[in-house]
Amino acid sequence: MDALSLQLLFNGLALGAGYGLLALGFALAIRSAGAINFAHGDVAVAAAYVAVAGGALDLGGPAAAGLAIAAGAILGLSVAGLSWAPLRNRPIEATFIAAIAIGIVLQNALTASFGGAPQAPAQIASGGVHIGAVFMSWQALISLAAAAIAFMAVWAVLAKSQTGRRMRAAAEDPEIAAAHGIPVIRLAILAFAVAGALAGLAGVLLAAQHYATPGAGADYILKAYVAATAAGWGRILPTAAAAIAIALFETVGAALVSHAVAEALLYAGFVALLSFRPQGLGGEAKGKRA
Amino acid sequence: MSGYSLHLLALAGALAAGAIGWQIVFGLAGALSLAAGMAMGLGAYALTVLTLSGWPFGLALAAAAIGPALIFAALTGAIRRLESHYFALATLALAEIAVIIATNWESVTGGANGLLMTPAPAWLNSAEARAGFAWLAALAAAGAFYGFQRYFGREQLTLLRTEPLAARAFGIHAGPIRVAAMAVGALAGGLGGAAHAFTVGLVSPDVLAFKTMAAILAVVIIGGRRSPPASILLAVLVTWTPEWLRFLEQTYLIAYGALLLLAIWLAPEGLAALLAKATKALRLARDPDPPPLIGLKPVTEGGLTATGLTRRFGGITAVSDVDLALKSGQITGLIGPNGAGKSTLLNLVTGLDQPSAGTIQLTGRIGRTFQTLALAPALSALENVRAVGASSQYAWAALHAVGLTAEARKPASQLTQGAQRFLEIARALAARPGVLLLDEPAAGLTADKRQQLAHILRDAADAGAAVLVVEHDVPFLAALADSIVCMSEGRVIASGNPDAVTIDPAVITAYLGAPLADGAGS
Repeated sequence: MDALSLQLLFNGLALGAGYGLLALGFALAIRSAGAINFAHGDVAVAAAYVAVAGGALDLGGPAAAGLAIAAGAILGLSVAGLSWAPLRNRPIEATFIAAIAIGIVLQNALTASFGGAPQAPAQIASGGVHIGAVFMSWQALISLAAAAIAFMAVWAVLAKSQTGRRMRAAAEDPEIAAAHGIPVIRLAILAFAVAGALAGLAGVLLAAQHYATPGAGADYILKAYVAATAAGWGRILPTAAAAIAIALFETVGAALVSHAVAEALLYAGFVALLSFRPQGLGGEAKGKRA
Repeated sequence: MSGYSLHLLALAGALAAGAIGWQIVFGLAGALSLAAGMAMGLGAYALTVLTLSGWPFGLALAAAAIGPALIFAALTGAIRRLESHYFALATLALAEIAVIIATNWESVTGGANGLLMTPAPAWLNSAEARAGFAWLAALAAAGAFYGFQRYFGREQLTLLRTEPLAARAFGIHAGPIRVAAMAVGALAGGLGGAAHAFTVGLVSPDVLAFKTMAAILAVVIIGGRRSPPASILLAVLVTWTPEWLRFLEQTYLIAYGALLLLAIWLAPEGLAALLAKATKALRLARDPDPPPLIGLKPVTEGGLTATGLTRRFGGITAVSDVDLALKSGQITGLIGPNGAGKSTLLNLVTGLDQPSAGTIQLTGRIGRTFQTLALAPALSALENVRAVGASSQYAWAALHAVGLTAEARKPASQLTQGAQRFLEIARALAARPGVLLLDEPAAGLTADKRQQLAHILRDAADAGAAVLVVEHDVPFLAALADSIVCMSEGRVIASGNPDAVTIDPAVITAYLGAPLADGAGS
C-alpha cells in the first residue's frame, strides 16, 4: 500500500472513531429505553459548540472537551425528560416528533448564537508524529484512543456489572424487569445520559477534524443509524466495525470521486439495504414472537 | 392588500399545500415520512428547470406535480414495509440525497446558489396571480386529502394506524396504502413547491432542506394531523409569525421547536382535535338512527381445510405438520398449553404469517378476534365495525347480534372489557365471514356473558359459518364445541369428540407438564 492509501486509512479510522461513539450511544438508548432518539445528532453538535465556546474562553482543548462531554450528558438527560419519559406510553411517533422538536430548538439556538459558518473547537493537542510517510496528528490519535476506551468501558459495564445486567434485562422485557424490582425508568434515563456523554465526546472529536456546523445533526444521526442498524442494535464490537467501514467508505470515496458522491452513495446504499432487509440487519426482529 | 402581504399570502398557500400533502402521509396513512420538504423541493426544481429549458408553463407545472408523485411512488415501493423508525430514517436519507444532488449537480440545479425562474406568462405575472396560484395549489391538496380519505375509508385508515395487525387480518394492507399516500402527498407537495418557487422567483437547496420539513411538522402537529383547514390556518400563522416576531430574528425557529414540543405534550392530536372534542355532543346528535334489521345474518356458509401446516422460526418449529378441518355449521375448539402454537396457527390461517410448508383451502371470508384486544380506541363501536368495510346494514346487524346496539355511538375505549370482547366479535361478524376464528373470547367474561357468548357462536354456526374457538376454559368449550383439537409443542396430540379429548391421557399430560415447560421457555 502506498503512503497516500495508508494516510487515507488512518484518516478514515479517526473519523470512524467519532461515528462509532455516536452509533454506540444511539444504540444504547434504543436498547435500554426502546427509544429512537432523533435529537442524538443535534446533541453531538451542541456539545461540539460547547467546546467551541470553551476554546473561545481559552479553556484549552482537554478542559473544553470535558465540558462538552458533561454538556452532552445533560442534554441527553433533557432529551429523556422532555421527549421520552412524559410520552413513553403514547404511540411511538410522539417520542420521535418530540425529539425532532428538541433537535430543531438546538439547531436554531446554535445558529442564533454562533452563526451558520463552520467552526472548530480548540484542539486537544497540536502537532503529531510521522510514522513512515503517514502523518498522525495527536488529535486523531487521541480520538482513536478515547473512542477505544469509551467502547471498552461501555462493553465492560454492560457485560460485567450489575447495572449492565439490569439494563439488559430492562431492555429485553420492561414489564418483567419492573416486576423484579429493577428501576426500569431510572435505568433508561441513565442510558440517555450516557448516550449524551458519548455523543458529546463524538461531537468534539468530529468537529475537531471536520469543523462543526449547526445543521450537521442530520448527517450524524444518519451515520449513527446506518452503523447501529448494520451491526444489530446494541452489539458493541460490530457497531465499531460498521462505523469504521462507513468512515473508510466516506474518506476513500471523497478522495477518489467527491465527498458529495460518497455521502449520497452511502445513504442510497442504506435505503437499498433496508428495502431488502426491512427488519434491519441485526437481530432486532429475533426476539419478537408471532 | 399590499404587495408584500400578497407575497406572504402566496407563501402561506404554498406551505399549506405541502403540509396537507404530509397530512395524507402521516395523518391518514400513519407513515412518519421526513421527506415532505423533498416533495416540495422536487416540485420547485421541476417547475424552474423545465421552464428554463423552454417547456411551456402549463406542461412544466404538470410535471412539477406528477414528477414528484412518480418518484415518491417508486421510492416508497422499495421501503413500504419498513417499521416506523426505519421508515422515518429511510425517508430522511432520501431527503439528504436530494439535498446533496441539488447542491452538487451545478449544471442542472445551479448548485448551492440555485436558479432564477424564467418570468411567468404575463397573465400570471402579478402578486395577485401568484397568491391565487398558491391557494389553488392548497385547495388541490385539500381535495387530494379528502379524496384519499374517501377512497380508502376513514374507519379503515384509523384501524390501520392504531392496529395494523388487525387491519391486515381484515385485508387492509399497509404497503399499498403507504405507496399511494406518499405519491398523492408528493403530488400535493410538488404543487406547493412549484407555487413557492413561482412566488419567490427562484429555487435553491434551501427549499429541500430540513427547515421546510420542520415548518410542515409545526403546521401539522400543532394544527391537527387530519384537518386540512387547520393546516391552512396554521400555515398562515406560521408564515406571518416570523413577521410578527421579527424583533426575535433567528429565534423564531427556536419558538417553532418549542411550540411543537408543547403541542405534543398538551394537545397530541392538535388544536383541531381539541375543537372536535368540544363540539362532539353536537355531532353525535345528528347521527342517523340504525336502519331496521329484518332478520339479517352477517355470516355466510364457509369452511377451511389445512393440510400439513408447518411454521419454523429460526431453530424453533412453532407449528408442525398440523391438519385442521373446519366445517360449515360446526364449532371446533382448539386447546393446548401456552406456547403450543395455537396463536401461530391462527396467524397462518388468517394470512398474517406465511407457512414454511403446507396448504390452506378456504371457502368464504375469514373473520377473527384477537387475544389482546385490537380495536381502534378513538372510533365508536359502530365505526370499529365499519372499519372492516361493512355496509351500514351489516354493521348494525353485527352489533345487534352481540347485543351492543345501545353502545354503538360510544368510543371503544369507553366500553367495559367484556363489551370490547363482544365488539371484536361483532367486527369479525361484520366482515361477513364463512370462517370465524376467535382467540380466547371468554377471557375475563362473567358467567352470564359466557352464556351469551355461547349463544352468539352457536347462532353463527347455525347460519352456516365454520367456527374455531381457541380457549383455556376447557369445560366451557366442551359444552359448546362439536369437536376439540388439542395442540402441544406445535403438534396436534388429540382431536375429536369433546368428551373423549378432555380425558385423553396425552392431553392431561400436556396440561400438567405445561407449567414446567413454560418456565423454561420464557
